[in-house]
Amino acid sequence: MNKRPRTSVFTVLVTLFAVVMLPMYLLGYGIFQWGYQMTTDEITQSIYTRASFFTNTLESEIQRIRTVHQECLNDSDLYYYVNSLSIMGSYEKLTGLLNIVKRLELVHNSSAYIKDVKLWMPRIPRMVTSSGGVESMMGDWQKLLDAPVISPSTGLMVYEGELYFCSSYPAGISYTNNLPQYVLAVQLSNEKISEELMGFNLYPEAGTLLQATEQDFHLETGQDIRITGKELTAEGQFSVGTYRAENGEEYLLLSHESTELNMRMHTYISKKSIYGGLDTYRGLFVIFTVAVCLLILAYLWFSRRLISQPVRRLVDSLRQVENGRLDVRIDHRTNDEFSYLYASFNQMAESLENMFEINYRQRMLAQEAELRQLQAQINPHFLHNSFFILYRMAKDEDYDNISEFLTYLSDYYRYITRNASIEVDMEAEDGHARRYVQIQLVRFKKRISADFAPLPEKFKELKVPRLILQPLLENAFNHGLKDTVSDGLLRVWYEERDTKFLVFVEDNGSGMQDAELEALQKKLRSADDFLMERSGIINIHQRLRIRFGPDYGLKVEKREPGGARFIMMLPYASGDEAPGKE
Amino acid sequence: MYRILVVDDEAFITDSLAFLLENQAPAELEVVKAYSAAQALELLNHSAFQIVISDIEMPGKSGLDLLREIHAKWPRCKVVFLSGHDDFQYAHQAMRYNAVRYVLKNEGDDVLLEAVAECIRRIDREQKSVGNVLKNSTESSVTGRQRRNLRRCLTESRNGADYPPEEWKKLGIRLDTDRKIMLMAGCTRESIYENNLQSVQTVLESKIGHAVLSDAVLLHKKLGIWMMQPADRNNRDHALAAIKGLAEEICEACRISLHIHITFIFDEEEVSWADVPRHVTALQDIAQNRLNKDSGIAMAGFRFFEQQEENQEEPVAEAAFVCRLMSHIRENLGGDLSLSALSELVYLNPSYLSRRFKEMTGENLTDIILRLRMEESCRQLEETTNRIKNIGIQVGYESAAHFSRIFKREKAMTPQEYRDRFMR
Repeated sequence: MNKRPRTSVFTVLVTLFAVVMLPMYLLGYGIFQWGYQMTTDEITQSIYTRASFFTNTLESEIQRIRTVHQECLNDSDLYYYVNSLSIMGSYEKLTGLLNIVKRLELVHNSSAYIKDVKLWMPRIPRMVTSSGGVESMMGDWQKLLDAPVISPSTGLMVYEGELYFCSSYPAGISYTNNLPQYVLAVQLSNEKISEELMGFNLYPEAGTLLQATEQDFHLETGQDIRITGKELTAEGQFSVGTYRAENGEEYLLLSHESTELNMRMHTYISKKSIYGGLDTYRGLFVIFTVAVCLLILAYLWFSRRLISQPVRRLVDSLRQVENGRLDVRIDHRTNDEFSYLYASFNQMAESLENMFEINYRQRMLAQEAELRQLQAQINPHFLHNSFFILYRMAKDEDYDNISEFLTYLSDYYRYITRNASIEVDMEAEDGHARRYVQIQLVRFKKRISADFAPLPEKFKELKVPRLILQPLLENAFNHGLKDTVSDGLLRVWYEERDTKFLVFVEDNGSGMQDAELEALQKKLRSADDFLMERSGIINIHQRLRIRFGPDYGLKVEKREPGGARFIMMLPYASGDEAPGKE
Repeated sequence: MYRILVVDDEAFITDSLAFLLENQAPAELEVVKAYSAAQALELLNHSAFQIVISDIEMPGKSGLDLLREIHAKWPRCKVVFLSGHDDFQYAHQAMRYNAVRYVLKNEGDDVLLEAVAECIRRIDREQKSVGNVLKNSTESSVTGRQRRNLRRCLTESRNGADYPPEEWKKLGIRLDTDRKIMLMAGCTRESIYENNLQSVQTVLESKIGHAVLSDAVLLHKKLGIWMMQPADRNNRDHALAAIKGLAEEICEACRISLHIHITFIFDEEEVSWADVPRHVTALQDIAQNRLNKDSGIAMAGFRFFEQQEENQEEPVAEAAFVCRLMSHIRENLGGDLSLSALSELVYLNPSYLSRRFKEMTGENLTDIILRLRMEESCRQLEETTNRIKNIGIQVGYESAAHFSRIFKREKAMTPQEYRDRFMR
């Protein structure tokens, strides 16, 4: 029997389809990834450009403010005013003060980043601001002077969250004993810087953070995501990274460092807002993926339905035929190549079945012929001995036994020579078997006894082939009990088991050698072949199998301690329906 | 008196043939039945038969297998094959074995009876021609000196240890010295010499030499001693059967060919070599003092004389054994009442028993048995309600038909009629 093919057509088809689909899918994926990268690069580039520009601008502006601050500090008018105040008249004092205010205003106006300019004159003591205020109270100029410096290169300082340039004149002396002549402070405008920083926030969920590298100063605009300095120690002048906020949202983080100012500017943009546009692409890609999957499934389903299933059906049917079921037919509605194949298959199966039918009939006829021949070859020993017994009875004038024995004999021969019907009632077959055993018991009364169970009522009507039982008994007498000198016992009984009617014929004779038993069992198993076997046993077996099918026939087993047991299996339906081949 | 064995696995046929032979045989026959080849072999091992009638196809052994064994055990036994087969192969093989006849079952009784008669004729012929054996016999290799020494060994009842096995061998003994032996005395009416004894020994060997190894020593003019061992170490039964069964033939042959009337006294008991002198003395005593040499006994068992120990007077002793026989027959009507069985019982050879019995009672033994059987069956028919078949079996008829026929012959009515008449 052939094995199932290992690589089915179906598998090959699926593989091919996958090979074609996969590059296309990968291409789609690549395009998507490329667009994503492009967008990121573009944004990064734009922010970098702006950040550089902003930083440079801020740097130069601060340098300029510093210059202005220094110039103002060294202004002669101011120096004059402070030192000459004691000798000035009130007009001069007023004009001088106005000049100073004017000078401070000039400084103030020199840059948009300047919020305020303050001048303290501790010795007078008086304080002037660019906004025109002159106050006699002194304020916290000392603290301001001691405020930390953000960037050493510019001298920018920070005090209470504000950026200052602050210097005293004369510089570098201790103020504890000797007050400076004056202190000039320029306050930078956080608002203005913030305003500039706001310009970076091109996306809705974005923010910018300007942060001193070493001192505690920072300016923040836009989305507040609470970035602390530590987390943002980026390497190099410009870096790009990703920051995950506490609320789980992801941000694109770009940092730009200004060494001159000793400051770092962080720009962060919510990825959501950057790639918002890309979501559409993503969605499309998902759809694409799903579509590809569906397509594959659909392809599988169709190819299964169109090719694999019909092929499987054909293969299954062939297998059934291999197993001997010849009544298999395939019907097919659609009109394709398969319907042609199926039609051919059906035709083949039908002709096979026809051939078997013819074969069966021939075999049945052959078996019947053989039976006739077996009948014709009436066992001569049996015949002669029977006649001799009759002769002896006559000589002994044993009239009772003569008539009894003659009745047995004539019934016996009438039954086996009757050609009328192939099938008989089990009752008749049983009666014949009993007569045969009676005759044999007369012959072998010293050696053999028999225990012949009655035929149960329900089996009496059963139709069976003729002369199936007697050859079994004959075998028991002629072979099983052949060498039994005394206490031979032949047992015959009937049983119903499942849907089978079983006839047991058992003898306690010498039994068979294992090899002999095996040979017989083998013959019984392979009895479908045309054995040119003339033994009655094989003949019964073949007739029963041809008549009722391979589940029926004869079985032989060893009987313990000695002897053999033949079991004849006949179909028996509990109803009154006559058994037989459908 | 010829012993005949009927063998057939079909009991009905065996019984019927035995009945036929018992009642219609051309000579007086003792018929024994065997229902299988195995049973036949068993019987053949235990007693001698002159004729065997056998079926060819039987369980266990075919008739031809049986024939081979018969031939080995009883070379002069005649065999008649009965067969349903008209098969040349069988006939051919049967002929090769010197089977006298080959009878088809459907040929009828006359053919069978004629075959048996033919066998009997041949047996008689062979018996008469036993002299031929003597012509072919060779001189004994044993020297006179050895004979003398041997005689001394046998008679001088010295301690057996004086004669170790090697000693016996030196004396020309052919028997195995490591086996026990059986002793038999042969008493002659006439005076005999060493050469006469050798002739008797030749006859004896021709008859039973296949079963028994023997050496003979002439003790004195009228007494020879035979020392015997079974030829087959493991089969003493066959040897015994041969000695007892063929003793008559030996005596007969001696009488016809040698004109010597000899009577054997056989001691079944096996004795060791050491005990030989003691037993020889006992045998010698019986032979000289107790045996009536004119009685015509062919063979008497040693025990026959032992039983007589108390009653020295011979007529009394014989009357006693007749009584014993009669009571035995009465008690065993359904059992084996063949002459062989009865003679075995009283340790005498069958024909002597039969003759002596008739002399003493005036009636044939078989007639007496028949009479006793009829009496018993009549009694049972009258007094009991036993089935006729069972009564038949109880008085020794296995087949109801046979019983009826004998009964009818004797009483001129069937058992049933007898019973009916009596009841009325």
